[in-house]
Amino acid sequence: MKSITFYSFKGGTGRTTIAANLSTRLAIRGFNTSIIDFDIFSSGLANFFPNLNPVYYLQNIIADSLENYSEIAENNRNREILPEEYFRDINFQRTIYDYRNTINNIFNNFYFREGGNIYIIPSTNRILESEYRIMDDIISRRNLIDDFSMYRILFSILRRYQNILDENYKLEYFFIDSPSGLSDLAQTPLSISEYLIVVLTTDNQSLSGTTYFLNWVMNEYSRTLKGIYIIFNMVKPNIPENIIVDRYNAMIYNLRDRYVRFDFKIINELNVFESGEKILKQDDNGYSIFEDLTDSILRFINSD
Amino acid sequence: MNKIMFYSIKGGTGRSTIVANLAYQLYRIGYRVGLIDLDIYSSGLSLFFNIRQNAITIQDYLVDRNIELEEFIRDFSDISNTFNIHGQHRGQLFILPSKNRIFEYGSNINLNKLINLINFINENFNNRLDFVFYDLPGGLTSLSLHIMRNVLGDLFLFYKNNTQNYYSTIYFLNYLLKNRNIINNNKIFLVINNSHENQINNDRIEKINNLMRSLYMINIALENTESIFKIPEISSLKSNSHLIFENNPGFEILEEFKNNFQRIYGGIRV
Repeated sequence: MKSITFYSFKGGTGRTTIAANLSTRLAIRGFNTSIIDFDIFSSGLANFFPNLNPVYYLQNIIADSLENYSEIAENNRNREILPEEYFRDINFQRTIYDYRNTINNIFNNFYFREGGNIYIIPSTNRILESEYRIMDDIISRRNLIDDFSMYRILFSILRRYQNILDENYKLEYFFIDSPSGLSDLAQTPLSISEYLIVVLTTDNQSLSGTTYFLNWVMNEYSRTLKGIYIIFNMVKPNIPENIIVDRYNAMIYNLRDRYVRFDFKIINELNVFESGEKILKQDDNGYSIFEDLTDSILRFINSD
Repeated sequence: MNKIMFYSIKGGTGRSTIVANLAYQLYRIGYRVGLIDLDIYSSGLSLFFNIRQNAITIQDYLVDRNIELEEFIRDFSDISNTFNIHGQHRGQLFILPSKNRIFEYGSNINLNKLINLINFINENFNNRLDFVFYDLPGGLTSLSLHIMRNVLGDLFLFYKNNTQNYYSTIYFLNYLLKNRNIINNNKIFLVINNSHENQINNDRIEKINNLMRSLYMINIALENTESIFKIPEISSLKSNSHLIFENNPGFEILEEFKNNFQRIYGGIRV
């Protein structure tokens, strides 16, 4: 199973749109795929998948784990508390939604090739009542638990999902929609991924933040990462392609490495994959560009 | 001093672009404005201004035990001189910058120091500034909510018309309804930016507006002010990380935004 993180420094770059569409395309092409919404504080992945009405989702897992952790920690102040302890009675598999039949019912022209499937792990659901109760839970628990433990628990949760998917679902690709920005939370997916897909727009905020991020990633993860694929999204038509290519080269100039491969793609604003909250169908604007992108990414992550 | 927080749950709403430009425009016509970039995990506000390379940033202050608040605030940079503006109506523009290099610090962020900073500004800058603008971190994080609870100012909520933004905005307003201490007697304004006019779903806006009204019912009702700003898409103030000067595309829209803003906070002239 290949684990691939989707990251963007700024929000609103189309990261989730590309992640949701790419994982669906791969499923249609016959790959056994999964995607998790790890952007837990501003999650949006579930909006792309109509009729996905989860009753139990990632935020429940987080809230339950934190509750268990703080309970155990209260009685065991002087020792480390292990994931097996705070994951007791937590059913991860309840949050992994098999979306194959649903997507076939909604988009009747979606024909999954033999073996193709998509499992979705949503962060929240859209039924508001339960949604903010959970957020409340998470926030109040968080005050009881120090940051270090909080991030260690989040890391263990992601790791546990990775193991379950790998062992029980025979997955080929596992996509993680990471939170944006340079928070500790954004580091978690990186530490379990082999590939990183970075989405950015061509404004200064995005460019300078992404450049810094990439330098940092190469310092920390050049031994575990196999490749970084950079997508310049929503590029204005009046910006010549060679300018973007120059920016790309400047960006990775100091990052060249024996083991980590780099590649990039420029996506014009006219074919924008701006957040439309939908899975592209054959007649949709941008569909063929997305097929190209899928080919290109597949080649990239399979050429080792 | 008017304390105003600029916040959006999802990214890409043009929040920093508008904060930077609004602050600059107000400064240009004579207001004393302080800008505080609390978007510490993906900051971009400093890019709009010429900040000294060696300026101490919010992250430095939050992480370094040796930087005391008084010392840091002394560095509350007056960047007024970096602009070439003449005439008697010149105000003052201060910035407490963030930098977009924070991974090293990670969870060392000391929340108490952040709260001390906010309190210090509230206490000491009341007579020295007309406006203090806080650019908040995006997302429904406890950090954002914690800042809101402590700043206790008006809130400009940035909204881009799409499903992700819609659900998260409804979610946030519901949260405020349940936790009214976060906004107390302050006002909330919705800024709709980066949305195609024909895509703006009026039912959704209505629903958001209803929620905002139900928040006002327990607060001071807004009289003669629009609680919703709509910025036409054609000149959407999208993130391009530079200030919009006269004759630039979008300048007129910005003027209008500034005028609406002044209508609400009118009479606070230097």
